[in-house]
Amino acid sequence: MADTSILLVEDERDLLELLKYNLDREGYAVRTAETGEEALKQVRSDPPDLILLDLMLPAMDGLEVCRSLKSRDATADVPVIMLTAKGEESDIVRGLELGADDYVTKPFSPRVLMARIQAVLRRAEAMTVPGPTRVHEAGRVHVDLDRHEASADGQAVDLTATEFKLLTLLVSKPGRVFTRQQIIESIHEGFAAVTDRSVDVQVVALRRKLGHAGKSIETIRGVGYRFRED
Amino acid sequence: MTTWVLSILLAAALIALAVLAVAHRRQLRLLRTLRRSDQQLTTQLRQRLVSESARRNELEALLGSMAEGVVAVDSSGGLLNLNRAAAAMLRLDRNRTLGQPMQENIRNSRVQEMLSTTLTEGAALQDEFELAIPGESLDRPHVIQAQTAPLHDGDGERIGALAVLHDVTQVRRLESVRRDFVANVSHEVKTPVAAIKAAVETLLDDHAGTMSRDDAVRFLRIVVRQADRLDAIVEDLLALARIEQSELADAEGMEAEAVAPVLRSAVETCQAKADEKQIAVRIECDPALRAHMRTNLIEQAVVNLVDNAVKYSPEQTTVRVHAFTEGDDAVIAVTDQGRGIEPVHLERIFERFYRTDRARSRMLGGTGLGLSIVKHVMEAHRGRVSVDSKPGTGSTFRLHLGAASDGHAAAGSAAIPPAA
Repeated sequence: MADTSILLVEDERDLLELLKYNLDREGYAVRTAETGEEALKQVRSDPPDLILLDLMLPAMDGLEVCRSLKSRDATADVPVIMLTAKGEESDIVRGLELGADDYVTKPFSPRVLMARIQAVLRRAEAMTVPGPTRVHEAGRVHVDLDRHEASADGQAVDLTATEFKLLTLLVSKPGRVFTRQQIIESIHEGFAAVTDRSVDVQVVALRRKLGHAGKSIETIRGVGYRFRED
Repeated sequence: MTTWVLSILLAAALIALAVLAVAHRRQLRLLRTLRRSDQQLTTQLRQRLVSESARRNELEALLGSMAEGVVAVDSSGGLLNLNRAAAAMLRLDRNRTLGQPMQENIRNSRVQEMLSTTLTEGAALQDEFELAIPGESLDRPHVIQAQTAPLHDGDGERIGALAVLHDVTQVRRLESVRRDFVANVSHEVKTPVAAIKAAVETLLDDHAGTMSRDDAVRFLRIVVRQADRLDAIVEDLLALARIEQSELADAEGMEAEAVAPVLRSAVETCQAKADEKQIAVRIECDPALRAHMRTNLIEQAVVNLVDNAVKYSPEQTTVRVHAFTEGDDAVIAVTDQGRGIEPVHLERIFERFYRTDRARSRMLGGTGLGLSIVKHVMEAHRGRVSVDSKPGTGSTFRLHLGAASDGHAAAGSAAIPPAA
């Protein structure tokens, strides 16, 4: 894994030091930046495999850095995990909608963070495999796009078109949190006037139909939904 | 016989005359009464007219002095009444628009919509929206809370609608300041907690025992440093809460206290840090100078100012703590020869958690609350704090207090011998 590089953007020196130690120990090649501007400069000259980005940075903040990265083709695909100490979910939602892949709230456990990094790297790698995946398998749920079939614990589940799209989206990236806005855009292709509330209603219906496996769909309060990785 | 008849006739005539006279007098009286009542009527009428217009004036004055905007329209949407505040908010000329249809005059679509709905449906409505006030910056629209209600006459007939516009800009601003404060506290507290947790878990996770002793010590130092920081934040937050409480308690007069001992005690607290950097802290204060203050609070404010001065000054410089009177004020000025403050920051440095340089502030153990505490202390004293600063030259912070007018204070303002 020594060839996997991670850019760590954090202005709190003590945390920077601790994270660097943990990442080093996991075998990643670690680079650091203490400001948003410095981070952008580094990413542009040599994109890392993943960016750990603190949102609360002096001058140019993390959301700004994320927006800038995702708006350029050369850097848009670099996975971003946000580090945030803010109690407000609105920043997390904004970050996810800007294209960040995951987030961890302070205080966090270094071990959990390392696991998240691995998951995001794994998903990023899966994305680079040629050809779209036609079959998704996550936990006890199986989705076959060609046959338009879904099953939970080996039992076929009868879903509406919207529920099927919702389930496909969630299991396509297990562990990733989708905001309600992202779900609306993905399942309704943007034209229907759908509210956040109707997403909640769809999720409740889907969970019920999935039975025990429905518990894998987690509500992330104030942010959105995700399919839990097992 | 003829005399008898004559006398009878005379008597009859006299009686008739008397009757006539009585009748006439009665008529006269009646006429007079009538005239009088006529006058009374006129007077009453005049009085009523006067009181009507007085009442109207009263109503106008009442409406005019209200901070809330009031707009009344009749059932066809014609403007019935409009007070001064509403005219200003909606940019209307009161004299020209009364009686005119509101559709052509009220340009704010929300107010118009609400009034129309209330007129047609008879329902009371409430809404909140932003409104740019003429002559003020467009970037800072006012937040208006509008309420409409149907107007009824004595018989319960609906005759129009009323809108009351309430400017809640200040309320909303204070709410957002409080929300920001809570978000800031959460960030400021969670950051050290995150570092402590990460350090401890990193130490615990070393199952293989491969961590070097140097690394372990390094991480333990992080724990100590961040715990100290948490403690400092909690202390400062408690200090702020205490000051806010005394702001309420001490609304009325404070004792006149001597200033010099407070300054000496404050400087003593900062002496060790000053000595480390070989910074000389000089006090200049007339021993007779007295000010209306709570000594413990002012001491805290001076400690914070001197502590900052020491932190942001190069070694072997001087910090001057100088107290004097200026008009009715007792002024305590703290001057350093430090790095100074950039003009862009000057306006905001008294805000809670505002830092000109976060990394540096943290390194120096700052909580971002020191100057905010100073500001609150001065507010509790009905005084103020001011600052002058030039980057590269240094800063002067001044605390303005009410001087004690017992003769001592004003005396020695010209030449104050340095004390201590």
